[in-house]
Amino acid sequence: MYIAIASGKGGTGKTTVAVNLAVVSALLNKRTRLLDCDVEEPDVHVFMKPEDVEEKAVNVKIPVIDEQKCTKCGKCKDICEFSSLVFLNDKPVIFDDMCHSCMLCLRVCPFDAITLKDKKIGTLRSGYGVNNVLLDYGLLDIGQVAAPSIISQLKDRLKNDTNNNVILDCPPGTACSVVESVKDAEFVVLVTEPTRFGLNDLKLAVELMRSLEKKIGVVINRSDDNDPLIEDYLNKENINLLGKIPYLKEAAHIYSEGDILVKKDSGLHSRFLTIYSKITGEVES
Amino acid sequence: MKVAVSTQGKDINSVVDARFGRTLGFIIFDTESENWEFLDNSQVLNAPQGAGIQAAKHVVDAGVNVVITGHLGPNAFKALSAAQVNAYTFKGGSVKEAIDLLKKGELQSLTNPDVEGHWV
Repeated sequence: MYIAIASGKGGTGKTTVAVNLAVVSALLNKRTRLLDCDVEEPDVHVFMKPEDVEEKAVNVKIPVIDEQKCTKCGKCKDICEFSSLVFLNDKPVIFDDMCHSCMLCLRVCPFDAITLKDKKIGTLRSGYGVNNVLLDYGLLDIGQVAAPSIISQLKDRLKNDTNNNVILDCPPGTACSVVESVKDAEFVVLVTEPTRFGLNDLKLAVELMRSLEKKIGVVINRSDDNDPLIEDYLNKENINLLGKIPYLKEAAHIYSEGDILVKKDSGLHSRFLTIYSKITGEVES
Repeated sequence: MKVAVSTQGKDINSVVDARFGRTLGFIIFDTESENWEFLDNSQVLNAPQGAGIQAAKHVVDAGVNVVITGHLGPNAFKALSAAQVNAYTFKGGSVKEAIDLLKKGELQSLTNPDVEGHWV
């Protein structure tokens, strides 16, 4: 099973859901791998406490122009979608931070004047944490912007993966980095909260997942037990409610200690078990 | 010498816009002939990214030697430097006042980017 946890709105509890589902999965003796794709602000490791973490640099390819070979034909700048290669006073200038490493400039240059150099934008880390869950997480260097590149390289680690379950914690929002994160997932869990902000951003996330043709289900976090604001919307849109996490002081306390809800509270454990089995049912259907 | 001044309006008495990349447009002023024209920047103003670079390209393509604006981010600064365009900072007055001060040598030049990208 390969699922992604996303939300639209930030702070709804994506990480809480991802971490607790991973531990529920591990407690069912499934070999479980968790990916933290929120590379701008990863925090899954705070809960999973991985040990013997291995670290690897993430590089992207950036063009370099050989001015001896360049005839200033301008084909490279014409094809660049991101203003990262422009001609100023008839001289090519490259803006590394704008480059998306699409390499089209390299392909269209008729004179082989463009080569590539590596630029480090972040790191990937990996280690086994709580209940032997394998955690992979990326960290974007400060000042860098190419989050999808790190997410893509983080997901490359899933090639030939033999774990039973892969759970991917997405960044918030509905932008490129979320699209990159959910791309290959079999099922997307959208976490929301019973507020107007939660509903508004849930709608945006649903719209995005539908345009990506993803199967989805919703978890309501900090639930008041009766959440007509969200539930009326889900009914109207025919979206499956996977479960609710109650608004409990005890849950907030466990979380604030960096502990895992399902290991500290049997009531919450059974809630997450129900959510887990509903997801497996959806994935297999 | 041709001067580009970022502006909130379309004529020489308009207020100078502190933003460079996402300014409404530029007054392009020729100090020899004293003639000026308005260079529209509205397409760049609404670009999702790279506004500083594109605005720099516009003024460089217009043959400008000097830019007067409020602030310059790192990309706009790099683009103008690459094209050997000198930049000066001016705020809170009209385009005409800015040009008069430039002529008197009373404007402060920008030798480094003075803001982060996306500063507004």
